[in-house]
Amino acid sequence: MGVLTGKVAFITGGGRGLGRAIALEMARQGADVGVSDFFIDDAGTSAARQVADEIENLGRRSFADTSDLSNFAHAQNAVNAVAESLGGLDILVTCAGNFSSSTIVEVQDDDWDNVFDVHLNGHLACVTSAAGKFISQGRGGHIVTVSSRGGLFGPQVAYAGAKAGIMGLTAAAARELEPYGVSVNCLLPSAQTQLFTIPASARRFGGMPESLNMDPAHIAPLISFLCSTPPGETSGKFIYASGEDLCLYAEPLKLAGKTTFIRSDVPWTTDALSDYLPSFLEVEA
Amino acid sequence: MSAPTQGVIVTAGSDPMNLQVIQILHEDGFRVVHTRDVEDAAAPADPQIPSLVHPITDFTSAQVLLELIESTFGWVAGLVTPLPPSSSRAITDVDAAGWNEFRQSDIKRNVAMAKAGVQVMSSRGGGRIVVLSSTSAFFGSGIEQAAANAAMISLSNAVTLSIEATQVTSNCVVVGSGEDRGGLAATTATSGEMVGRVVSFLLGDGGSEISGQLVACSGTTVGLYVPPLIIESTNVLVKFDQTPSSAQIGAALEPLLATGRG
Repeated sequence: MGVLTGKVAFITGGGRGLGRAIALEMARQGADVGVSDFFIDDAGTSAARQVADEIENLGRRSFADTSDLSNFAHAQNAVNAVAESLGGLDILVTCAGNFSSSTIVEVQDDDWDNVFDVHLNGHLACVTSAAGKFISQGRGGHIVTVSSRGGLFGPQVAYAGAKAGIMGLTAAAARELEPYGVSVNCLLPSAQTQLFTIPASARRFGGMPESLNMDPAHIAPLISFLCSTPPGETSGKFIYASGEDLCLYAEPLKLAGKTTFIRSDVPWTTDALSDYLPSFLEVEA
Repeated sequence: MSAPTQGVIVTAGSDPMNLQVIQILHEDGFRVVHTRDVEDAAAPADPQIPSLVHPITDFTSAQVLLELIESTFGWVAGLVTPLPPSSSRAITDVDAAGWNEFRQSDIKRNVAMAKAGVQVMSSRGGGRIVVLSSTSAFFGSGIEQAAANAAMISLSNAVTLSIEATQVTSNCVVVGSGEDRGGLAATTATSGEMVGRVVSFLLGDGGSEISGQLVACSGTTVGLYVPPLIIESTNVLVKFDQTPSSAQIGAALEPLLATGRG
């Protein structure tokens, strides 16, 4: 029996990369999982449908959505469809993203609009839709947003701005949804995916040690663990994860507080995380 | 470094806080030009501060505006992007139309002006950019204003990293409410006059060598924030699955010795 047995999760950008890894890990942990991804390959195969099939092969229920979730109406429809087909909603993880390396000098309107549409509108549309669902259900919930370390110190003006915006909305949403028992935490991952192929050695941003493993599957147990904690107890955290590395960042603009980096010599599992992380996250084990 | 007091400082914002900042800059001797997107938005009360109406719909229109200012008032030496307005709509009340308007007028407009400002000032040999943000980025209510203010902190950093080879500086003033937020002691409410004094310092002679800073300004407190997510000093831990050998301990710790050295 997995730590997410009986839960329903919705993963945006779940067709590939980190989103796919999280969707499959959550299914292995017992969750029924809705997957959204508008990527369709040249053969006409939907990435979301493929992952939904994999989830069903694991014995869990699934739902595939291919709509553009930067559209608020589409996001609302997708959240409603997942809840109706899988029996409510307990978890939202917003992995959908894109990238532009343009600096302030290089950036063009199309670049900026496209990155903000996918990242920030996509997050706002899905978070507000899920928040409404969680509040109406009255059983709490978990939201994990996906930002980037580059958000607050990257030169890529559109990407960084959108990722910083996600951090800001995470903090505000965590505060606003606390009375409803909804946790909102922010993942800052580093992995090699179809979107990001640069090697670990080139990602020592902000003084982070080089990651020894860039497989997104190694990040997924952290998300399952976070979403297995009692809803509302762990919220407003900014957590870096890459391979066997975790880093709990001090809250931005907070005078007190300490950043803590943790490396494991073996891949993290939800069991290992439940033994180790609660004291850092200040939650009941 | 160009002396901003000899050039034009381009500003914007029509709420009382931003207008007070503009008035302080004017009183401190800067040649301020106010800009606004629509005629019925408030302009500075002081008739000596010109206010141009010029909608910023995209990056090109911002460039056109700065060229217009240069041809009308003289070379642009500084840019102050306004503090995003408060928006504490409940999370379930946020809709596409309201958010997209907020995004256009309070995020993209500032990015467009910063982009145009970088291009103009770097070609002129220098200048100053001051981005106003707020502790609402991480301690306020309302996901829209939180996102906008966090994006403004990011904007200042992104500009700083892109202009290192130029004589343009960029700093972000993070305005607190005067309440206890993030451990910053509660004082009186933050006034536009206080923010204006901080911005004036950064635009003046004393700010010529300051760039890439996150300047705290709350009540009557001013200071410097540690850059978020940069781990110059951090706890570093290694978790082994079972008791490791000394060699394994060394192998694990050695690559972590560089932690915090970006």
